[in-house]
Amino acid sequence: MYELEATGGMLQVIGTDMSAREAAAPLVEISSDAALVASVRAGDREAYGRLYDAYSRMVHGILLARVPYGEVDDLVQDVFLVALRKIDSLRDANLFGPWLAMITRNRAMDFHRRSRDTAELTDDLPAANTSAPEAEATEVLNLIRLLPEAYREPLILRFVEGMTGPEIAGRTGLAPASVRVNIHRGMKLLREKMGAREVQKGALKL
Amino acid sequence: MSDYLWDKTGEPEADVEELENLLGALKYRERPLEIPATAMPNVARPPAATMFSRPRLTIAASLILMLLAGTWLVTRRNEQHTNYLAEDKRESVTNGNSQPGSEIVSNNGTGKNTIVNPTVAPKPTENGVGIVKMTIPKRQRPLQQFFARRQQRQQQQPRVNKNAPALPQGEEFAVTQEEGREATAKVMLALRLASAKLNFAQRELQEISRVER
Repeated sequence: MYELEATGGMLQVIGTDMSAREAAAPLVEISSDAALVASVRAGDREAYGRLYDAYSRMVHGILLARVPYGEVDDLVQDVFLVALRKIDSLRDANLFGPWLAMITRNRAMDFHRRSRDTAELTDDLPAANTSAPEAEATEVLNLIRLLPEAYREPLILRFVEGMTGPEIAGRTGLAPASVRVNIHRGMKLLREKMGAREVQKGALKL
Repeated sequence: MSDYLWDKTGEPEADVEELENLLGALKYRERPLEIPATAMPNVARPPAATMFSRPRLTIAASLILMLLAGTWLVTRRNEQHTNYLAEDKRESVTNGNSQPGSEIVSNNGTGKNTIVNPTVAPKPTENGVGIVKMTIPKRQRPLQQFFARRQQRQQQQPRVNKNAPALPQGEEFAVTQEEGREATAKVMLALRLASAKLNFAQRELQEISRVER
């Protein structure tokens, strides 16, 4: 058993006992990332394709937590192109994931800064050719977006992209314990919000 | 301890599984990454791109600007100097106050001398070459010129303060001086009297206070 204390992004682990399995998995990925980054720097396109395969879900999830759903796909491509141009500025090749996550967050902020002058269409508006399950999914996504920022990203990566907690921690460079706490707390808040939504819907039907 | 929400191990929770299925519809639909050829690092760029790179263009532009500015400054200085010389020549001819000094020989045959004064008739020599006597003006800057002219003017006309009162002359001056001395003596006497009176009053006050004690 272990005790956790978390405040926002800061987290202190008291008497923790991380399993060897959780710790070992990201290490293998990190070493392979470093080799891929070195190949990319040498001009290997295929190596960058492999990095794209490994990190596109993470980039998509991070963007989805901040940007309207319709814009995300194009921004994913954009983020990978920006990262490729800046890859020589990456000091530690082992930290490709966290570095890419930072670029993605900056790109999302940049998107909002640029589109400040234009009226932004939110996901609340139903798209013309959206199927019923997709519309419901968008509705739940909007509920997640109402949660505090620290919980949004891990929840979307967990539920939308289907990543596990250790995978999220390994890719984004966040502490596994921090991700775990944020997922659990975020889930608790989401349950409350969804419960309130169900009650509202029931009241409307009556 | 198994935790389905954390690492998908153990018994799945119903609402978590439901959320996974529902939100899974929005997951990233992978599409191939389109990488432009120039975006790859260490890819040799066409020579045109390296030749007209931004820093090179900037350096070239600044050099051209510096060259243009330099040319303009030199031209402007030359023009000013030429105008000044022409003006000075005109002045010396119209005033007729040319001083004897250095001579400039205008040798049209050789073309070595540059200053020619058409208003003064050249003296014919044995060779038939015209000689014109001229003074070479000492080059002065406009500010120096201004101060020199001002000094000259001041020397010619001494400055007179029109607002100052007219000073008395001769006997009148002596009388006025005497009157001044008398007035000073009167004022001094009055001051001495006042001081003596004050001393007397002070002593009286001291006496009274001693008696009272």
